[in-house]
Amino acid sequence: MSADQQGHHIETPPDKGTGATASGASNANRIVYGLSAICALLVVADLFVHKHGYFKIEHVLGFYAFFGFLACTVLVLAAKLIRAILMRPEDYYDK
Amino acid sequence: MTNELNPGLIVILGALLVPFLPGRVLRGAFMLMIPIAAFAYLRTLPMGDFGQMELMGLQLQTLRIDKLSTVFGTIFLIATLLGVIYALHLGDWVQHTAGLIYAGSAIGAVFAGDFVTLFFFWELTAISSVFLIWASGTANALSAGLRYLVIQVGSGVILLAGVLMHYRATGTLTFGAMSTETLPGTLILIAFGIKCAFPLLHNWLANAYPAATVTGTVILSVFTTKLAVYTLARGYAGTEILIPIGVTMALFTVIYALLENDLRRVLAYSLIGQLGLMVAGIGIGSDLAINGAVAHAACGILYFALLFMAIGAVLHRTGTAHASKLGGLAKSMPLTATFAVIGALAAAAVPFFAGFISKALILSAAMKAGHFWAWAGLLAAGAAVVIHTAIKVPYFAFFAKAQGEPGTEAPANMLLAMGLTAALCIGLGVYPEALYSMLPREVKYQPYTTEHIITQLQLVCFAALAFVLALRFGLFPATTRATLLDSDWFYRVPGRHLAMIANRFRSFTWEVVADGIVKGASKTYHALYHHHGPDGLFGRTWPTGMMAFWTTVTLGAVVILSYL
Repeated sequence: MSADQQGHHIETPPDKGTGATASGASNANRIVYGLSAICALLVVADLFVHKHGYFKIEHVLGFYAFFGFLACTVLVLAAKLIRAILMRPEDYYDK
Repeated sequence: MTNELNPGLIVILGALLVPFLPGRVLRGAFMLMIPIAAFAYLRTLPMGDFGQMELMGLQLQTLRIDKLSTVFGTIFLIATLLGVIYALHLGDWVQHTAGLIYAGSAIGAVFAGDFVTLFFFWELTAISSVFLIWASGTANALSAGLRYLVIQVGSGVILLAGVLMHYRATGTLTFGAMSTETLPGTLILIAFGIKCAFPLLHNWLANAYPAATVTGTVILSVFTTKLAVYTLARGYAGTEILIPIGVTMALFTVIYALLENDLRRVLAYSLIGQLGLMVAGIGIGSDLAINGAVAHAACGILYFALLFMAIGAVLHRTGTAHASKLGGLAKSMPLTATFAVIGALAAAAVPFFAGFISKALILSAAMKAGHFWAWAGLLAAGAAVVIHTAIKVPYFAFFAKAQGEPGTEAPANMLLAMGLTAALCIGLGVYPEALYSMLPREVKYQPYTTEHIITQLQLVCFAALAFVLALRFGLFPATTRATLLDSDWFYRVPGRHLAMIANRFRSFTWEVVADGIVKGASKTYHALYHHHGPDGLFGRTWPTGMMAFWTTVTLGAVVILSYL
């Protein structure tokens, strides 16, 4: 269910985003708030799930949520750093 | 004999007839019939080994039907049909024929029971598929295709070397479980690894796939790498080294997929990342893990084909697949956008979509086998897929602020192909038993427990939150037109210089040698002339007495020498 919601949230920007910047920004804010609400609900749902995981760390409340967020943040920041090293002009190999 | 023909050969023989058919309608109808006929034929085949042949004293077994080959053969035939539909609008018979020969040879390789048959089809996939790259007609496609061909054929040469050594050592050509303890086993693993885009051997994929034609990339994304996954599952199940290799593939590609601007290249890196998951699964080697690798290959074929189709449709209509030049296409191409979102949800492994039911198997297997770091690495890579593939690709193409001209909706045949593929992505997600019942090992697995669904949704939604926040605060790396250095740098820059230096050295050496030969020859000639010429010592007339003297000296020397 929230899978679909996620899709919708991504779809929303162009409808209003092409208009004034103010409505674009408020729209973006709405996505952040909406997604945060879903995320909060999912962490709450974690309380009611009986975990069978083999690793202890999995049994920590909201482990998957925290791990997903952390992994993505670290990888995005790493990519931003590595970009400076790997990036070359588009015609680099043609020279 | 009639039921001993490799199904791949049916596709190849059909492909060879395609150029001779007049008219697009007749040709199209015939091409649609090819995978359907091959599938119908495959259904009639019983399990077992067939097609025994003797070739120059070698015992071949050209057809092996078991669960592993059947599941790959089936998904390959389905993908062939989808690829044919997607390309129906094309008038270019070269691409149609090359694409079908390529598909047929991959199917042939999957059903090959021995190494010689495998090698034959292995090389045929390389030679036929390069035309899908060259058909783009650009200078970039020409050179990328050439590099692709060299690496692919090279993989075949290494395979052949390994097979010959294996045959000499064991006396058998049957393709079964191999060992990495021996040199031939290692060589064959390297050959498979090249096609499977192992780290540092991967770059042919990221270079060639985005250079191919719109329809060619879709076909390319299906076969080569998944054929390699099949061969690894057959030959190297439980080979521990594959676990770190697979995890590395899953993780390092994240960086490239995040940074790349060309969306087809983003998908190419993402595809390598998902191959990493399959490779790690094969390395774990438990029944659950092998089933997971095979299932993920099948699901990956579908959702990557769908994503490549959607971005291909965008490229077809707008002339570009670069994120920095796209955006806002959801309005002008709503159906393509919808299909892309379905592909994205499957790629993100959202419950009730194809990726979920296959990825869960591999992660559960890693957990059950106690591979903590592999499990954590694959989980992190799985979270990152949400950003770089599931959100980035549809977002920049369809939903971000428009940077270029609006397109028009994709041609009907492309929409039909995307619709069918999307239906399969959802169908398998909702009814996983359809795929599970075909898997090679006997294991019961239930992907839809509350625990699985909630934890996976947490992973996906928090990854999405990380993306939204990064974008909001300007931390997401900007997509601009650029070249990202990758392992091909080694052969495209220092390698090229080395080759040029070697060439200079070769010409220099040649000059020295040639010069030496010419000078030496002329010296010898002059020396001979000096001694034997009309005025030379040996050219003069000598008195007979002198001759008798020298004869006596020589005879004396011989006599003395013989008594020593």
